[in-house]
Amino acid sequence: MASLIEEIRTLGTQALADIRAAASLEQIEQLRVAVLGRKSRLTQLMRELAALSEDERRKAGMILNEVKDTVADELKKRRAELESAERAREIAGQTVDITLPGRTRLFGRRHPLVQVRRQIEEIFISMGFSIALGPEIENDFHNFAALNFPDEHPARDMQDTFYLPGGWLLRTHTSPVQIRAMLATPPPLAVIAPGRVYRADADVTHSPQFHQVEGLLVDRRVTLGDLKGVLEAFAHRMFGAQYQTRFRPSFFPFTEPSAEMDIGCVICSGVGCRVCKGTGWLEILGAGMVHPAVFENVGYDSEKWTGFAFGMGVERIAMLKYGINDIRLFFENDKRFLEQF
Amino acid sequence: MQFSVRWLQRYADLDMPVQQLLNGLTMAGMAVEGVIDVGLVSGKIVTGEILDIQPHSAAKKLHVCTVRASADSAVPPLHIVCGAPGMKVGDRVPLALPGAVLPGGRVIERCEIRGEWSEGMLCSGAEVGWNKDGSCLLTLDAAYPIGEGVDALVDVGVTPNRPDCLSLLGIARDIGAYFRRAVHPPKFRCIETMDRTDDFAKIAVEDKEGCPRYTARVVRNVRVGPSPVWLARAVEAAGIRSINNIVDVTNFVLIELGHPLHAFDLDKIAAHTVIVRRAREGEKLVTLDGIERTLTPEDVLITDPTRPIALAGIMGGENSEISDSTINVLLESAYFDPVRIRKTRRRLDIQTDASFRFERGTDRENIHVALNRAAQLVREVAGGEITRGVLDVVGTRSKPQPITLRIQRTNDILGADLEGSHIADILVAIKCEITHSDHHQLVVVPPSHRVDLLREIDLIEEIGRLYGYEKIPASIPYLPARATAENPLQETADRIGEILAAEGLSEVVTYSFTDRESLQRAYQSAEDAVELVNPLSRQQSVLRTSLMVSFLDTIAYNQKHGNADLAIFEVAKSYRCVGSKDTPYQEHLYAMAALAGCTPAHWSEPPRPWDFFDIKGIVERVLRRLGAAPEFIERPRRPDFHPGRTACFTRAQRDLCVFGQVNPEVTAAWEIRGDVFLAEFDLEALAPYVSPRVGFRPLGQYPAVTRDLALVVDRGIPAGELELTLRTAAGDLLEGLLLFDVYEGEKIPAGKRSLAWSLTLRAPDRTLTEGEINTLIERILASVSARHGAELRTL
Ligand SMILES: [Zn+2]
Repeated sequence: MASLIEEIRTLGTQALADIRAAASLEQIEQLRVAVLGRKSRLTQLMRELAALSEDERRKAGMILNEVKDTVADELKKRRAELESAERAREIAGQTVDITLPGRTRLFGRRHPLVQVRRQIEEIFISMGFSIALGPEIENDFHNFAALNFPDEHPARDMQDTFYLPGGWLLRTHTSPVQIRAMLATPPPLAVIAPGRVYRADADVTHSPQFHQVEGLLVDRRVTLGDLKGVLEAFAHRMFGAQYQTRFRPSFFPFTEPSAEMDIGCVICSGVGCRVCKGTGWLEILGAGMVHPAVFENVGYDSEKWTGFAFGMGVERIAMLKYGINDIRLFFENDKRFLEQF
Repeated sequence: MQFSVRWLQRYADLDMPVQQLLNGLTMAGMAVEGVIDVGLVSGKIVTGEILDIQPHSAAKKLHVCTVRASADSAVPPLHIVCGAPGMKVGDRVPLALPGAVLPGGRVIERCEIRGEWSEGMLCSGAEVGWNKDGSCLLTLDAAYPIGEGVDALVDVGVTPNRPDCLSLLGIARDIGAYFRRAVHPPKFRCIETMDRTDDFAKIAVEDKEGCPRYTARVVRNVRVGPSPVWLARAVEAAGIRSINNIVDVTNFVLIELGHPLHAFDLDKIAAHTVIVRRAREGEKLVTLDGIERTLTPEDVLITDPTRPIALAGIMGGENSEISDSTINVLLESAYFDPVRIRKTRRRLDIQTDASFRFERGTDRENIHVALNRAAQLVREVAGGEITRGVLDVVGTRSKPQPITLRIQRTNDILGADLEGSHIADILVAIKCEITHSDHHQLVVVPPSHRVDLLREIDLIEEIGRLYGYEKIPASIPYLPARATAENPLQETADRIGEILAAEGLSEVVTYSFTDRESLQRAYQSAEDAVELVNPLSRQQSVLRTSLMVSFLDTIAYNQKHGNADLAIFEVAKSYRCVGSKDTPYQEHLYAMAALAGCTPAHWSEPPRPWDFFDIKGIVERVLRRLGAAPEFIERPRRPDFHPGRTACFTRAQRDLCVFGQVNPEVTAAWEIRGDVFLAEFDLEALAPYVSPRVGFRPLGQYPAVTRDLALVVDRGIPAGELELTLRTAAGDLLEGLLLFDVYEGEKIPAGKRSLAWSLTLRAPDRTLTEGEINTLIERILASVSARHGAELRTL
């Protein structure tokens, strides 16, 4: 009995020493089979315990199991150590040149005009306006007459119009959408009309095709103060609250009183530069209270309802926002230009 | 409208700093659009008086001038080297001091010129931007004080509703009201002789509609010659060329009072009789600019009994023009109908200072004042005698009508809280007459020069403008909340833009314009292209019937600028004539995507040219993400595309998207190198199928099984047909189907190809057994064998 226990302990001690000395995962596996396998001496001794008395068997069995557990733990520990060392060797050989460029994939962007248009739309949508759309090919009624541009009035010279056969025209602003919206919907109304417009004019700051976002609010007791509030909020969200705004009297046939809104020059911060012609101010949009004649033209009661309208050129806003000096760049679509936005 | 600040200051008390005045103009609604500063703002260009002129010791053409440059005679004069011819002792001229910046950007410094120091520069009219004359110094009259900044020439934008501001007096009146300063109309006396005007000239107006009022005066025995300095400078300061003393007077009165006048050589008018009538069809007149004009009855014509002598309100005729030999002058001051003047000047494509004012509306009560002022000035600068009385033919009279202005309404529109008395003060400042007032309203008669004040809202605008927009408190309104109808087309357009950008394509914005030849070269329909009546150029003479031409232009442009590899898209319209009477034109919304050149280059794999399957992949993913599943794929008949490399996804017999390679014949016509692959999404066809809702399918809880089948079929059998058979045969258990290899070559018989599919099978309610799977695979194989002669490839 004593020699049996002695042998168990000796086997255990030897096994632990062998395991600690093992230098590879293969050796560990061999040791596991040799020490704990079915043909191992410890397994054999386990079977021999059956011949002992119950008391001795329990005692010896306890010792045997204890040795087996210790050996198994040691095997596990050493295996983990060796695995970890192996991984460390692998990792050491896996170093890449982190300065090589990453794998490329096409990188798509929205056009700067679309980005700016959507930004304008989102600001007004968040205030409660919704989007209205209309055709680019219009008639005189929607583009001029309903907007209180009398026939043969010099106000028509403010917009050089492209005409189509049959008295049709390419809309010179998105205001016809406002007329269509009012003809289709009774008040109250809060819409913005983004879209492509055309004027027969071409130079560094004028393109025969450009984009506008116009807005219209009609409700009871809308005031010029409301117009100021909404447009100031817009300017601050578009360009940043650090820029001042100012409203100057102006003239549009379809609004009265009419105004133009300037913001402090985003290029020179108001000191005066070439872009702002030394004034420190940049005009960004035109606006005004809807002229009663327009309401009369669409069948709204101008005594019950008041409203304001405003309009801005997307190109102008984008040029100021990004410091672009030539409007033609937007339509040339040079890849080197498009990839900057 | 350009004017001199010093002249403006003669008509109102505007002694504030110039910057404050300029800011006031802008805030009163006359936006300052440009300033030619001749020293008034900077103080660096002053009026100097030449005291002495000595020859330069070292240069024959130069002189050394002694110039007084201060009002204080104790301040020593300056030495200025100058080479200008014709200067005289006593001349007042602009003197640019060191530090002055001339309008062209030139900076003046103290400098040594051939051994003599110069303390500045004496300037010509061209050098300071006053006129175009660079040949001699700009002489100034005694009204320009020595030592002070000379002047500032200001250009303001006058809106079309405010013709009353197209003169010095008009601007003074308005800005005077803005600053609440006194206004001073010119004071003058028209001294007449005892001779009666109607002994020398007669007037008859036949066209009373075109000419509601015509007045004239005669000035006899004038001496035509150059204008005095003050007059020449005054008209030049407004941007008008000085011509002679008579013409300059008419132009000066136009600038000063805003009413256009015309001066005739009375002796060139047959029978000294002026007849105002409609022109006859085809009648001809050579105007002052030497151009022969062909007239129509809509034109108002000034004639004598024998011939036309002037185009009323627009331009005089050559045949009655003032010349050096003119002795007797007929001065015309009339009111012409704005619409008639506008029609004529538009048809003839001429714009003059006179027509500009007449078509906007002139002050009917100003006609006499302007006529008398002109007669008096002619007498002053050209001598002569003004005969007694004005020839005056009045057709129709029109007086400003009273307007009722409600105080509550005014405050409601402005968002202000103004008292009635405050409102009345503002209206009085702009020369309105208040004929009645109570707690609720005012009855207002506008002055005759304010042709824009016709209804209540016009007055409310004036109140807001002169009260000051900046004083109106900003407020945020409650917006009328209302659910808006969804617009599926707009939704589709927005979403496809986002998807294509996410696919890696960059958005472009191209012109809607093109020309017929480009459409034809791209095999696009050109007969129904919408033509512009007044295009800016031939290249932009029609609206495109397809976005393809714009894309070819964009790709060709980029290739020329070294950008060979391009992946772009646009969401935009094309346009067509459809011939219907009510809606003769049709707009159609498309999204177009294009690939040109190669895939992006990277060190790990070589770039390769884009091919059909790149564009097809984009199209498939776009349709899938939109939720618009196509039903069929077809080969469309499209001459603009490559016949073998083009496909079309359809649904309900409509083309959702045509995609493939652009016909190489077309790309060659644009001199584009390499293949171009294009996809044209018809957004109007797609919109009905675009579903923003994604249906959820429960995830299978039982394990999936994957089986690979390599099927050998005849080369000509489309993969799509095989796929359809596989799907049909596999039924509901087929969860996924992937074609992972296409092989043609030695390992299989000639004329055949192998298509290797990976099938993922899963049942929602049980684990599939081996037997079940084998039965299914056999059924699939039997089906593809029967339909396509497919055999399982054995490896
Ligand atoms: Zn600036």
